[in-house]
Amino acid sequence: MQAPAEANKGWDSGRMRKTLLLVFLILILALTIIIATVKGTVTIPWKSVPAILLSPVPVLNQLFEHIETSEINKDILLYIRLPRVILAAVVGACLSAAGAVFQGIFRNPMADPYVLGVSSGAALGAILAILTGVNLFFSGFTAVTLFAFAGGILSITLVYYMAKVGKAVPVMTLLLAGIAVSAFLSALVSLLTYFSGDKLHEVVFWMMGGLSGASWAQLLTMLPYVLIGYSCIHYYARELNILLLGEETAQQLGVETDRVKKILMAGASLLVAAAVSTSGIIGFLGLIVPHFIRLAAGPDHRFLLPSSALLGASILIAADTLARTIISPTELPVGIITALAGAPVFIYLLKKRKKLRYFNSSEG
Amino acid sequence: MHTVIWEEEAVKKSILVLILAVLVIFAAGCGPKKQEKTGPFAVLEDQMGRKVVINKLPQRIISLSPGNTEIAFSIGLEQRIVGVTDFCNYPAEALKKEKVGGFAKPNLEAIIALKPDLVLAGNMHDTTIKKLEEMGIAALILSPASLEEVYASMKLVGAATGNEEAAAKVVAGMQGRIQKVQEKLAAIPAQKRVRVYYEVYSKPLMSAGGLSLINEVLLLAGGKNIFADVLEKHPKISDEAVVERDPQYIFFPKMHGSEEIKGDFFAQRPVWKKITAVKEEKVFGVESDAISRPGPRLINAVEEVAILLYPDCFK
Repeated sequence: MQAPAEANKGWDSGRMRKTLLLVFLILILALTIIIATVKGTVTIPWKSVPAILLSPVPVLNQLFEHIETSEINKDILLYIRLPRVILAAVVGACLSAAGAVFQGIFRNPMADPYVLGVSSGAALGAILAILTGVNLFFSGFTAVTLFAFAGGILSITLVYYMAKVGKAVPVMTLLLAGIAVSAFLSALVSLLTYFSGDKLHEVVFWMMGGLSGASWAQLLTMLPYVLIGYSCIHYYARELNILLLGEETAQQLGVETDRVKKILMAGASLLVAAAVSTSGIIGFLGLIVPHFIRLAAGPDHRFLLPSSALLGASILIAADTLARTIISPTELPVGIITALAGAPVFIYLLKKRKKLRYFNSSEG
Repeated sequence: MHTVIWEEEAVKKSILVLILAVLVIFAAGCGPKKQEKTGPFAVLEDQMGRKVVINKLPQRIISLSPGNTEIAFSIGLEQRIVGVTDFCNYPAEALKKEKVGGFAKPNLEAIIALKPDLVLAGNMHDTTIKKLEEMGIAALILSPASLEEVYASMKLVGAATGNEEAAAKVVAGMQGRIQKVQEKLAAIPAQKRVRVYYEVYSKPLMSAGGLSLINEVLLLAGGKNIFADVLEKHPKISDEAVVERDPQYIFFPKMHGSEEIKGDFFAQRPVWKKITAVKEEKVFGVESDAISRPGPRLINAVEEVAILLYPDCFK
């Protein structure tokens, strides 16, 4: 196997293809954003969208001066819909990229962003915030978001220290610790849900995942965590490729596996915690999107990570648009749509690919 | 060899014993039939279309929902009610009655222990009702979804308990009060009727749809529910929809923790501060139980809302 050397070759067709794919995904994302801002409970005529968005821009706004935009449409677009669409993009990107990372670390195609207990921890934090009725409001973040974020980070820290053996963190132990902690925290969540009384609705709805109530303040506060998290994982994208060959092989090739795994996990967990704390538990994205990209362009994480992020962003925007228009003015929780749509797609993928050959398991 | 014979004998013996036991049980079952009772006190059809036979005048009544409790108390059954749910908090006398459990999961043992002869149930109590039927306890299901159906359930309970006159009086009283409100509102033309938004829940955002009791109350009070076109009871709606439909009044249920809610609770949501109701500070809490329980206090809710919407009519 000469994977590392080959990957560094110049402009071969593989690289060209991957770059084209990236560009294509960016275009799709832009298109999805445009459609999503137009569609909604309130139909904003599509000409109004650029008119409103570009009105502060000195030269371009001349083009759109003649278009009438109502005050209400402007407010809805700028303060309700646009933040929501952007939030969907960010959350979709976070979950998909994190999913790709976990699938790489664990060399397991079934890994998803919630495999290490971040979601159960976040859910516990959220439910505690809801039940105690704590009334915090910190730059766009409510108590629920803060507690959920803390819960997610704490639970993965717990999992990490449970699985640590000296300096090493064996992958198998991590997985098992994640399952154990997840199960325990989920049981606590169920218990609290049972006694939630009149807050039941809020608890259940939070867990089903939803993007309503998005605001610019929230996005700005989230941004640093997302950027830090993504930088961490992209920095080690090459090492992640090598990790796919197995830990021993990677070590022999000079990769400091413990450090790399720690940083990758920290980065991915930051992404997942940021996503889950703002929008509840949205499933299937982190699991399926990386597989889509691998089918199209192979497992090279230097492309897989940004591509998954872009595709995940577009898909979540689309799912959320569907969630808020399909039975308008009633809204569906977005997590339900991703699960309903995601499962059949996953089954189809499984049938099409007899072996998920990018994962080195003992069956090869 | 010896053991085999012994086992065969044992088997034969057990079969014999079994047959004898079965015969005895059958014989016990076929005892003399119970005497025919005299005609039942009442045979009614409840609000789920079930035929309910009440053998004698009910003296020990249990209510399985707060709405049913209020209905029963209002038609004069206070003395005969022996059990209510944990959530039955009105009238004050209801708090002194024995509790039989929650709303969704009434405690069957507690119910049986009180030896009821009539149980006023709701339409989600099917498992409980089945058990009650097996034990021969009459169970009347009340599930009124509109004011008319509330009147009907009051009359039904009246017929079931021999309080028809009291029930008819209460219904007439309620109808009279509604009539008075309508008369006062008659002067207001359709265009001047105000748009109202009722927030059932904040997270997720839930309002009262066209199929809810709250909607009917708002309508009777002369308001236009902005979500009357949504044919659900309590739809989860989006911020956008509320902003676009621009209600002139916002109502929310007064409950624990919502006493201090005023306009700024709504104003801090993105864009909500541009809604007419928030700008003009027409944000009011209403008595939550009165407006959402199917019972006699719906009239109180209608009057409360009408006075808030059109204060000049009710000076």
